[in-house]
Amino acid sequence: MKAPTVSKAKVAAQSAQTSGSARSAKLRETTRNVLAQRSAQVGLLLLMFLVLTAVFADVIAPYSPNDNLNGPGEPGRRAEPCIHLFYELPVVSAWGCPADQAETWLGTDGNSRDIFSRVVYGARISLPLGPIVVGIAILIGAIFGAIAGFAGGWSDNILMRIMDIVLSFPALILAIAIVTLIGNGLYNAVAAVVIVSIPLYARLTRSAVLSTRENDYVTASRALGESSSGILRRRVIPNSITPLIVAGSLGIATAVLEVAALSFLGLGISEPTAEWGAMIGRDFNSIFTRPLLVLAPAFALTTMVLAFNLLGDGIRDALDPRLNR
Amino acid sequence: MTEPDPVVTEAKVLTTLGTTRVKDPLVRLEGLKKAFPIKAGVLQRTVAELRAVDGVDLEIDRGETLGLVGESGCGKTTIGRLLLRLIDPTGGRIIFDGTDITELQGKDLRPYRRKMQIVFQDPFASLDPRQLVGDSIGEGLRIHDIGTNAERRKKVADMMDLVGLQPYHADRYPHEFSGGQRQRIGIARALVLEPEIIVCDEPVSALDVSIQAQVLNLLKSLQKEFGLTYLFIAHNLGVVEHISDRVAVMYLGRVAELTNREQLYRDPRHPYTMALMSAIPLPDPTIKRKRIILTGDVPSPVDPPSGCNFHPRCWLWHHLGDPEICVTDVPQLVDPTPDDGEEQLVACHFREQSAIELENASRVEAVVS
Amino acid sequence: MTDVANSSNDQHILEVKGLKTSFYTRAGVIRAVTGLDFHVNRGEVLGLVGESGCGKSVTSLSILGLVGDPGRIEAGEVLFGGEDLLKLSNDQMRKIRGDRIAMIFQQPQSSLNPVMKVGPQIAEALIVHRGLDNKGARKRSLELMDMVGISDAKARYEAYPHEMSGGMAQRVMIAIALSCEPELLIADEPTTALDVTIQAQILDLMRVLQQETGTAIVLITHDLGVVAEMCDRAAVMYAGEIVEQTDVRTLFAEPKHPYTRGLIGAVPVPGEILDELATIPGAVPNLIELPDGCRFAPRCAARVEHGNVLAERIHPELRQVADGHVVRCWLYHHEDGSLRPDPNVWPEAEA
Repeated sequence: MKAPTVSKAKVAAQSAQTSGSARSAKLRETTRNVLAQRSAQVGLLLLMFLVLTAVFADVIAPYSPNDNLNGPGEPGRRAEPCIHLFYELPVVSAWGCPADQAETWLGTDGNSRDIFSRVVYGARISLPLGPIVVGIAILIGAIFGAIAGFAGGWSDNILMRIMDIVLSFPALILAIAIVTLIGNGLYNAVAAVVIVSIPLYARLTRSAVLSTRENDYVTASRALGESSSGILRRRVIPNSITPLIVAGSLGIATAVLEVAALSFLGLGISEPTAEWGAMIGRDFNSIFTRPLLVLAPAFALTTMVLAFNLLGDGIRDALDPRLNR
Repeated sequence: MTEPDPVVTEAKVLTTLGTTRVKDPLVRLEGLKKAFPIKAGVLQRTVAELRAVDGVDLEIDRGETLGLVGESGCGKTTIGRLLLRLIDPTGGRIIFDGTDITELQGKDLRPYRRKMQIVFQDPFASLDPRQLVGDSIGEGLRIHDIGTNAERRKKVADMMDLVGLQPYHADRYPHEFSGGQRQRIGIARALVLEPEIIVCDEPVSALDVSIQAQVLNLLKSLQKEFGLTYLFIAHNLGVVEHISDRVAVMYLGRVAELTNREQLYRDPRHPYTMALMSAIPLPDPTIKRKRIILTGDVPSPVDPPSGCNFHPRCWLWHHLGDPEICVTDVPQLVDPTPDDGEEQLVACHFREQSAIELENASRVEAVVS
Repeated sequence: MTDVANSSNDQHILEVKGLKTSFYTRAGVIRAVTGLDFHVNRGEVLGLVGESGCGKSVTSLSILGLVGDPGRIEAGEVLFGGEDLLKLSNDQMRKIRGDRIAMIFQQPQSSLNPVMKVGPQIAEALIVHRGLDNKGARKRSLELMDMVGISDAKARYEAYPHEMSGGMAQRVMIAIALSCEPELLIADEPTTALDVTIQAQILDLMRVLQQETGTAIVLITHDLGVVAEMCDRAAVMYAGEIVEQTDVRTLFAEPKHPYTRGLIGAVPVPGEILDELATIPGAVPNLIELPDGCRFAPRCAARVEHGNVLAERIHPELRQVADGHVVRCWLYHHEDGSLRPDPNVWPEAEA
């Protein structure tokens, strides 16, 4: 009787060591599933490109985003910066501008700042905006949704009616109203977009929690004596998170556009910070005269939205249980 | 708070043919009721109630298996959940080992959670897909903070060995297992706290026949080894009869008949039990038996029939010419033959005649209601 | 190929020969049905019995030409009235389905169109296949509803599927199935989702209607009790093939295949009080990596008892052990009854 007990304990000890690797194996499998999606591959590639741009902005951008290439403090530069690539492309020999001329790729904006540099540096602001907004919105939304779904009753009623009220306004209009109320600025714009995004995640969490908590394994936990908060933390939330990840990855693109829209309206990021939405908004009137002023940041923004959308699609497909069975 | 119930359990022996009921109730349900409100409208007002369990008295003796059988919507699952205090009753009492646990909440209830466990029907929904099997089985130990990590692992390994799982299975996720194996995992999880009673809620209904037999045999051998008490809920009378010592047949939230399994097969007295017995397709083409085909569906528990709630479908009622009493009076659970030493409780106004009338009834088929 | 039947072929309403259906999934090729041979006589009820994953439902879908992606029927013939159904076009098949071959499924509620009243759903089949006009179809539908025991047919004609109980919905399904007086009815677990007393109603109804109309039925079920009550003959399936086939009385009185015996022993029967049920150890094989030998060998008590290594290596054939009784097991492979391979199948073994 003694001997097998010892060996069993040994096996159990071994199993404890391997359990960590079993968990990471599952994570690896999920990652592999995501990466097996063509859309996720493309999205990730684009995103990596943008992230690298943001990280190495100092190296890539020829100028600081706020440099006035025409200003008094810029010795040796003439009134009109020399533009490469598009305007004078046929004259490839002119790669070297005259020594007293600043070289730019896409030209300069109204304040004589290099457009290309501003777009590159803009990635540092615009790129993290989406994930941050969505992250905060998911966190708050998930708490609301989990409480509503798990507790039910009046707390469910009150929370969800509030969410319904928020949802009944068009998101952008409400965000504009909020910013108008609390004042302009990057943080306030982010806060406004977070507020209008919360109901989506709250509702999603609530329905996921409602269906998860009906599972027998939740009942089993309760029968074993687990407390309500333990059930919520250990059983319900981990199993309700998949739809949130999917919706979140798709929601990043929307959030980015909403912040950009606020900036475009002059309610978000203020001058001189380089941010794509703000850049588009500031020079929108020049779209016919100096299209690159608008098209360059617009292209960057579109690329980012596309990247997040493709990645979100990939994650959704990979986590869809129907595809696995 | 944990005052022993005044009606202390005294061992009373009822000798029966072949079986002996040692009257030593571990669990007593007294007039248990559960009505679920049905809400409607914007204000979610209660417009009606679904009477899932409508006054049930049951005793489950220490070490026995009480079978609970009935069709969908008869309240058998609800009784299991009420017993475990997973849902709150709307009436009646639950007495566990002499203590009234009906009103206990939170911390006061925790010690009793350890003593009562549950095994579920659906082997796929009963395990957390994100939890390693070893963690699932050991969850009870973690919740009640029993033992060191090493001790817990050993206990989990022992449990897995007991139910026929391999040690390396602890590091796998539920989706890697077949239905039968998952059911073993669920049983191990229920056993880990060394409970006194396990509510088995249709534990084999979702399994294939050959696997079903494995799980039934496992449950039986575990009961022998640990002196477990089972409340075995199922819709399959063959399965219930195989595993149970006594069987309660339920219909629309009430117990229709309660007796030991031999008696139930040999001499059922409730017209519903008779119909249920005759409705089971037997794997023997040579058997000829009188078939009772009940007409109509089980009525809704929202608006159950008056009096004996079985009367609209009852062949005996129609056969006897629709007596008034079945419509007006709720029949009590009474033994039609109190002197034969067999405990057989039947909730039928015509419990003394039912067996004889079955012989007489030429066409055992109720008239369309 | 062993001849399964001795009766003349025009007696066969359906004859399945060497049917092979596989599913090409990401995980691998699932060999759901591998070389199935059986026939159904006119007016008889044939039971296809087996546990989940034995291929019984795939068989019915193959017959009906309803195997969808990623499934493929890879070989075999399905002769229905002498015509190979597998060779017909989709259009031709559609004309046969619901007309000459009807089907009922396990989940009656989900087989009905949820946004259409049930009466018109019965009438639809009559209009499509029988060319009746609306009025005639309605009249015939009401008759059919009456026939399948739906009381107050006129009122129920206007009901939606969700307003009906499972038993009622299954009656509607049967009415639809029988509306065109099919020659063959395929019933896939028709009572599995129903309560015992409702199952008794539906089985009783099917029995009565079968006797009245003489429709042949292929009854697919996991419940040996249903087989014993309903069927004339039965084929037991295991891991995609038939392991035993005979008339129902013989099947239960003298089951030959160890799997059949195990199945019958594993069912708890009311009134028979046993301490332990007979069990079959282990689980069904993975259909992606089927064993080379007898597919039941790893779980087979008889193989262990006889120490038969052969069974694990070579796949046994369906052999006739009595008139109309075929078994796929090495136990019955040699004429003298010993557990040896037939010299015609494996000559080296004799040496």
